[in-house]
Amino acid sequence: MRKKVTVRVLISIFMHLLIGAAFVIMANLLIRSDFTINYLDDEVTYVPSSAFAEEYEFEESDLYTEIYTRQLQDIITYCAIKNVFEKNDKHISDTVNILDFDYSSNLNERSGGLVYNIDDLIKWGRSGFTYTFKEFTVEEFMSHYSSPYSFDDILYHSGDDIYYYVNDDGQTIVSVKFLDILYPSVNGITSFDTVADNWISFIDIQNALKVAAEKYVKYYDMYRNGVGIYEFTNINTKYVLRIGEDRDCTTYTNIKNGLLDYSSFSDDELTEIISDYKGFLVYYPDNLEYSTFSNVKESDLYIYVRLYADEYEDPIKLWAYVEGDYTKNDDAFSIAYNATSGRKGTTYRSVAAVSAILVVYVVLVFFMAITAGVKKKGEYYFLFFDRIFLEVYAALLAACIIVSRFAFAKNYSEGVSNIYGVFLPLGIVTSFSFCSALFTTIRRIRGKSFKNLSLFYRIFLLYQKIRDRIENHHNAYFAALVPFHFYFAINFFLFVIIVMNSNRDNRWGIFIPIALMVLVNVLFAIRQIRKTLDRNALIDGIKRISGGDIDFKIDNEELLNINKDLADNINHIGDAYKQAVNTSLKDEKMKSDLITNVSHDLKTPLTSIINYVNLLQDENIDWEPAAGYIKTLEEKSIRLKQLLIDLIDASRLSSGTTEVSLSEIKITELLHQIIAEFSDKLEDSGLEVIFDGESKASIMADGRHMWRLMDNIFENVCKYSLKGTRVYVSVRELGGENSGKILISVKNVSAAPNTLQGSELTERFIRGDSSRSSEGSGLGLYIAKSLTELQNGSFEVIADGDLFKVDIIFDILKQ
Amino acid sequence: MDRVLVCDDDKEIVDAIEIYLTREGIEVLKAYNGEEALEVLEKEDVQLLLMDIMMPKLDGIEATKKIRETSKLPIILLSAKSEEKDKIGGLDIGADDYITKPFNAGELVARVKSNLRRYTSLGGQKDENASVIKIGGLTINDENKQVFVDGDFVRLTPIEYNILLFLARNKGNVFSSPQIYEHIWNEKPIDAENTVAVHIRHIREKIEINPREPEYLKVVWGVGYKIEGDL
Repeated sequence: MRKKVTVRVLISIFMHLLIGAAFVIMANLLIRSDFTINYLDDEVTYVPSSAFAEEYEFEESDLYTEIYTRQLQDIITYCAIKNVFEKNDKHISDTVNILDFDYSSNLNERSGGLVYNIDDLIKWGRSGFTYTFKEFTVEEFMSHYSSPYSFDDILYHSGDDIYYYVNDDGQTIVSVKFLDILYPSVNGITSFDTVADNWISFIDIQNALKVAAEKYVKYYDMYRNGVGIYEFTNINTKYVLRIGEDRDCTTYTNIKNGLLDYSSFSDDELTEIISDYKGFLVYYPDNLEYSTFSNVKESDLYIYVRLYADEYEDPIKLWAYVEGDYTKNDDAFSIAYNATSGRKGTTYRSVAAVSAILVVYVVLVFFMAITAGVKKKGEYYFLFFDRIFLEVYAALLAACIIVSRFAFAKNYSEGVSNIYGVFLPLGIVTSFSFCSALFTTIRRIRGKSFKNLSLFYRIFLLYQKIRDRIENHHNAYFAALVPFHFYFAINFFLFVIIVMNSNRDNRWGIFIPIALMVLVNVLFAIRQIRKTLDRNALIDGIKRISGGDIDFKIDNEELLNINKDLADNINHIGDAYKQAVNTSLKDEKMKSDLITNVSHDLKTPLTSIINYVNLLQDENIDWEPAAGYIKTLEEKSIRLKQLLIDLIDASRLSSGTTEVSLSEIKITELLHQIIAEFSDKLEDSGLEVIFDGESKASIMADGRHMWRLMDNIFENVCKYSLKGTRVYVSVRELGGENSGKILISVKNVSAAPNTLQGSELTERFIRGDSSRSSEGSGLGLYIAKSLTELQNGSFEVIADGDLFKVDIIFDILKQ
Repeated sequence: MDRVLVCDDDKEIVDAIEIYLTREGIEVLKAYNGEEALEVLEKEDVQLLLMDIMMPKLDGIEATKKIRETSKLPIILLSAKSEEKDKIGGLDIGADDYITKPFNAGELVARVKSNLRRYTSLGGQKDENASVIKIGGLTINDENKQVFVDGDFVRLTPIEYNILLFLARNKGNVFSSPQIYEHIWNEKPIDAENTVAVHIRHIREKIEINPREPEYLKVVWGVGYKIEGDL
């Protein structure tokens, strides 16, 4: 066990290191791929569009063209500034007439001008411009500065440089902004009053000086930058820029090739020399000559030629090429080359390495996941952190991630230079978090402790328990009001929070309570619906059980906890009911079987009795009364036989074991057949049958059962009717609410008075004559009634005085 | 002389049956259970077996099955069970007739004689005459309008004879009273049911051993009448 865990820990460490390594490789590949190139007055960071797919040759790439274009633009700019600062080898010692910098009026046409040393202007621009407000009365101001303008004109032109107010003495005071003169002009002027003849030109001179100073400050910065870039010989971009015509020209170049002095070559010679190089370019802007082996566009360069035309004064010519040694030189091209094309191999190697690591990692994760927590087949083990709550575990993991982040935040701040310090730990922590979360989840699921070891689940269970306790509380007020108040209180509380936060600008403070409110109400609604569904299920169950579906069970699993008890009890009632029904059915069956068996056993001795009585009858016995005795024996034995047959039938009927096979029966035909069967017997009893009915209706019934029941009725009629009376048999199709039914009615007049109600006559063993002395078993009507009902008919006996009537009703068979 | 083996575990019943049959000139052999019956049958030449179903050792059903393996001897079963399915069960295993206890002595004798006659005359006189209809023990000779049941002449009225002939010619088919009336009287049936029903009852009383449980002319209750086809 210990060994197993140790092996797993070792594998885990190996896995985390793998991911750490993968992170480092990827970081190396991705982070180091962006690079920065310095231009004259700009610094550009490039992220290659794809570090992995730089398929073109470097010289064909857009990146190469852009760098070349910008460097050529830089060179045009740089040489222009250099021309300003270094013309005639006077190093930043030229002078400039700042009136030339006024573009708004025609100050520069003023004689004399205002000439400054450029280095003075640069110094002035560096130190910044300060102003002092001087105040005049309007009269003073106008006398000094107004001609040829009115005060309103001056106000209109000066903007912020002038304002006026009325002082306490009621005088209008004009406050005017004067530039503080830090450096005198070449000819010693320290005030612009001498140059300006009115206030508007005064302001223009001040502005022109500012513009000039700022321009030279900027030029100076660019010049210094350019010296650092374009004067060195170890950059790939080589150029020769000439100002002026052959021989009488100034040449700027960074090509120092041994003893060769490029400035000594003629234009055509230069062109010929460099035409063999990569990126060859020759540009005579004024002659509209342009030719290059690169993708640089003439228009991109022409803009700059135009921009610095003033600085050059004379037409320029530009020759350039790219040396193409990206490893030796240290410049924009080599940086770009190394970041893109130069890293092609590295990219493929990195991707291959990371892919291999991921494959190994996935295999290991799979293996570890399969074996996680497995001691033996079907036996599991847990580590100590598998036994703590899921949420606590997640918090610990989160804490671990946060702490480790702080731990290498220091390394991170050191930036790209410390890739190992940042990405190795990041990879390890990522892998560790992933693995431990995955494996503990697997172990918990295997050990079936996932749910139980969750705080939320435990809280949910507790809530459920408390809720069920309250809702099932025997005190109805408590059970009903506590949940209601709780529900109301939560809603009220959330509502109050929403109202409070609605005054502040607190979006979450409103959103979260509203979301909670919706959640609480939806849950409440669901619970109410489930309660109603439960109620319906319970009512349905009760209905079905009470309706005789004794096998029905309410499904307990679907119900809320609070209703489970109720459902159980209803199911118990159903069970008890079922048991009672089954017992009673069994009892009835046993009774019926008992009666049938006893009756069968009785038949055997009865057979002997009947036969020997018969034999006796055949003997000639001299003794007179014997014949009478034997006659009685015969009659009683035959009655006994009938009793037994009736008894068996009755018990079969009451136990429900009688079979029925329904077929179409014509009522009139049936009655005629039966009357015919009884014609002799009725005649013997002195009865006359009056048959009334012409119905052609049929019913669905079992012919043999119909015979048996009519047989019983007619037997009764024969036995109990008053001699010499008529028996009325009628068939009538009923109308009204009984439409679709047919009534068979047999009426006769009783010989003895009826003492019992009609319904009592059909009860077992009850007969019309309570003395029970005459023939018949008393089961006849019961059997008839049971048989009728077995065939879905209804059977009624009506005894009205001496009138005895049997009504049988069947549904007419629809043709 | 015909010999009948009577088998019942109730000795008194066997004795009573013996008295009845002997009176009719039939010799009676006795047995008191199924095994005994089989033993007697092996030794003696018997023309009919009258056997109770519920007996010790070997019951009537099992005994019938065994006998039927080798012999076509007529067997009449006696039983206290009167259910239809019991009767059909008994006939299905090969019994020729079924009498329920307690039985009427006259009916018993009649049935024994009927079965004996049918058995002994089997394969005897073969009437090739097309005008003679034979159904079980019932013979109708249309040439001289005579009807015999188990060889006994039965006197029928012309209408009764016509009804019987009509049903016998269409044996197995059920006819309602109006249908029968139309055929016999050649008239529109008026009050046909009553007329036909009474005639049928009379025919049954004449040709059946027990009119309430007819063998030939059967009542299909609420539908009509028919003569059983497969006798």
